[in-house]
Amino acid sequence: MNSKNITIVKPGAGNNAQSEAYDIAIQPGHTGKQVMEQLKIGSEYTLSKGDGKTVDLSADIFPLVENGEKLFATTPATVGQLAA
Amino acid sequence: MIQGMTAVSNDFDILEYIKKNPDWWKQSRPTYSFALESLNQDSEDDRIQGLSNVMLRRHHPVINIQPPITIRQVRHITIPNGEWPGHPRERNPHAAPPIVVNSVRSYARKSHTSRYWQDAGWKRRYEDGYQWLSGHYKAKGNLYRGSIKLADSVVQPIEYYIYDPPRVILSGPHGACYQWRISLEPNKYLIHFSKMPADIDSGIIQIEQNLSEALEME
Repeated sequence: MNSKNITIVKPGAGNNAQSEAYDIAIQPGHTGKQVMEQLKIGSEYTLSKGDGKTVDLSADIFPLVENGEKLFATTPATVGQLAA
Repeated sequence: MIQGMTAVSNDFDILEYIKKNPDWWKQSRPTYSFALESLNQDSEDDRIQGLSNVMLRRHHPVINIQPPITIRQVRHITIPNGEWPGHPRERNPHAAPPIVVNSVRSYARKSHTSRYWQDAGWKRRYEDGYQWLSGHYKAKGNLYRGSIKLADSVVQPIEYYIYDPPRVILSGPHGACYQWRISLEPNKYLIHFSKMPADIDSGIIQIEQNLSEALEME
């Protein structure tokens, strides 16, 4: 079966907080939103690959990730405020 | 092979497994007797196959658990597939196939499953009585030196710094959020968050996104 094993890391808050890692197998057609819902990770989280790359939660993530890749579920943060 | 943390497969054949592990089934069958009897199939094999794999795997022995990972919960969840009568996939054959959750691990920071800041090469150090992380923000293939002063209480938030940020970000819409102060080194800027990140990783990732967006506009 065509599937990829990936890990979703959800960091805990605080310096020494416990984090969670979800090892999952995805198949073509799975969206980031489905993964987050399946893992019961809140809708306020987004998925990131690092290096400034975010994952569109509505897109099929299968072609976007490599087998064994790690994605990070992060909470929203805003750098400063946009100038008027 | 179905034992262990990474052995979940949609090709899992419960009948085959029972044949190879009769003792396990002898112990486990009473757990499912009510469910088995409620199914309409004629033969015992058909009734067993009618049970969901999730139910069967819930009581499945798990081996190969190595410290220091703390197994908080092992879930083998499948979104029901088209084999289940009445499932939406029957109505929509184009619906996505099952997502299989092999395991859920809860770990402390010394676990072998690292967090983003660890993967990105940030190092912890102690200075002036505070814990700091030193490393680089990554954006569009560029590295920008940074440091993060970790919070020592809920009152003091995490402080993110960047050295020599790209000119495009200082002149862009977020320029005012990269603040140089008299107490800082000439090339070191404090990054101001209007909405503070809840964890270290979220802050680094947000800054990297911010830098990437600015560099794209360049």
